Amino acid sequence: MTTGAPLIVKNLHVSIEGKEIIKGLDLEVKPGEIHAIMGPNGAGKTTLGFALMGHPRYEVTEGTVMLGDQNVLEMDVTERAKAGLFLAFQYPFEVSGVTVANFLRQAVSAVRGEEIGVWEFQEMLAEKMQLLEMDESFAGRYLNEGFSGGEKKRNEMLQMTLLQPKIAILDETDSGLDIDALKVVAKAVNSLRGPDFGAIVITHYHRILDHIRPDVVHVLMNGRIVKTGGPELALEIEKKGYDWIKAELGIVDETAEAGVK
Amino acid sequence: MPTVTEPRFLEERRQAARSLTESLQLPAKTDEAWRRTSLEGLDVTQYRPVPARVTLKGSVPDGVIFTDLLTAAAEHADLVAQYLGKLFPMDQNLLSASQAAHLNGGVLLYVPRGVVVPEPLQVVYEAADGEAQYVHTLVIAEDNAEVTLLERYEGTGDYLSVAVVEVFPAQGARVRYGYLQNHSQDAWAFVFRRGVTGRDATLDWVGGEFGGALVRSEIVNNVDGAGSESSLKVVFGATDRQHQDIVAAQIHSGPFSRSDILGRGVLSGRAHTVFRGNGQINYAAKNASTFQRQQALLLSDKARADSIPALIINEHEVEGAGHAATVGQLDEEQLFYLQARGLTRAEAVRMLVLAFLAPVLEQIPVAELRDEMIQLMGEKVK
Repeated sequence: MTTGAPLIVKNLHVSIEGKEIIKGLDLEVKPGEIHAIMGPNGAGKTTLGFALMGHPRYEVTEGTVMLGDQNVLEMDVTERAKAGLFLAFQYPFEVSGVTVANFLRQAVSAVRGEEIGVWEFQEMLAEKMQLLEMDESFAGRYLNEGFSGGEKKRNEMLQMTLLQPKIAILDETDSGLDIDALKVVAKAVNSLRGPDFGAIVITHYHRILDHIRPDVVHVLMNGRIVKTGGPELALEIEKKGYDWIKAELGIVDETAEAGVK
Repeated sequence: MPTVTEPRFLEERRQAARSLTESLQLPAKTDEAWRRTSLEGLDVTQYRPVPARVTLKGSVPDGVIFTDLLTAAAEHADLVAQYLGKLFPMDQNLLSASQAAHLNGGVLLYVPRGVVVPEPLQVVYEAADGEAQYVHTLVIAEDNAEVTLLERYEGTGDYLSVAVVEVFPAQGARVRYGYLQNHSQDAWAFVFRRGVTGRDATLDWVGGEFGGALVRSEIVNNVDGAGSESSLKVVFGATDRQHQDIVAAQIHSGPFSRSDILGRGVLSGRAHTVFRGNGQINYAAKNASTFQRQQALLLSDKARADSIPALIINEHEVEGAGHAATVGQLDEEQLFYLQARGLTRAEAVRMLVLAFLAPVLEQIPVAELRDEMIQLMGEKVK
């Protein structure tokens, strides 16, 4: 149904309350590609996700972001979601009083631009929940309320598989997950993998990349992508931390934490 | 108005009330209970008392009386005389006196001992521009009787509505009273609801306030019977320049009696709401409990919600008592989250508003009333 589109970010600068966090970032994710973005704390990883999705607190001061031929920076958050951008939140918000099923049905209808039928939706939901090894009762619970960390992340993945975005951004979806939950996250991404789907997997750890094999690995430091390589780069970081990259590139950054946590 | 000869007791009551209207005044802001609601600009004589338009719906088992109050007053004079105004004296102010003097419609619902009315009964009060509607609902449920009554208030234009509702569940009786106030946004609307529970009786109140230019809506319930129970749930939605003043009181005299009060409202525009919750446990109401929670959500920074919770405990052996009140705004992060899934801001707001009201809406026992409240609330936040 959706056909893929490349996400092209050029010279992106993002500030929060006047403080520049992203300082000239370039990134191109083609349909079918999975990019991992790794980096120490404070490098700007979460800021990148929120800025691409259009959070009003993250101010883009310079640069361009295109999704295919659409200018992402001219769209509000709703339009970006409808255009095919998806952000899996690191800390999904709890919404008491709205059931998961009700929310998902509205979201799928919104992104499709037409109301999805009850039966079609139920069928789709059941299929995706089975894929993600989720209990049926999940659909009747209030959105993220009282969910464990793992359940919240599964719920984000459920949303992603139902909404079938062109480009998904996973903001440290793997953080804090046990290996079973991690495999479920990987399963969700791998189920969408194909010529019409691109993803940016933002992570601290190499672990998830054993299950979602990235095509490209970037290192984000100081608000810029400072190094790009293949899957072997992630392994190297896992072993040696970030200090060697800083040394290699002569980066002096006191705010960024050295090494992998 | 039905062409019936008024019984003597009603005629005398009207006369007494009429003379009271000559001396009594409207409630004034100097009265603490009315301090936040100004009736300045209200001239009751400007509105024309006409027979009230009252529609009754629903079928009842044998022995149950469900009929227009003025007809009932003639046909069941003793019954009506015994209960009319018992919990709401007419000599309080100009509104109570006018209502008694010009009483122009209402309902008597009488359920004899042990009778269960299976389906909810419905009453619709309608008013139109220039009219004064003075109505009275009496609900009398004898021992172990069960009934649900739903009232709806609606109208068009600038009018005055003064309604009194009195509910009497006797020993072991179970009464559910629900209402949907959807008056014209140009109307003055006053509703004074009173109840008293018999031993082990249950009286549940649930309502929705949506309409009216200026609304004073009271539920003052006397949890008198030992072991009796009462819940009170109100949702309110106020927009533009609407003013809604809601009183919700549970006054316990019965030992081992229990009650709660739950109020949730959503305000936008320059709306102003007042929610006075009062949980009171009188001396000798041993082991009684009363809990209340009131929450308001402001969708505009010009709207104002006054939450006034009170607890008055005059008995030291209580099972429990508490209150909580909050006034807040929608969470921008939640809105962002929903919008990031494709919902427009308006859809996200609507979703969060209904979610906020869900704890009250979900407990509305009649699906039809619940759905209508959801729809009205949805229209309010469009």
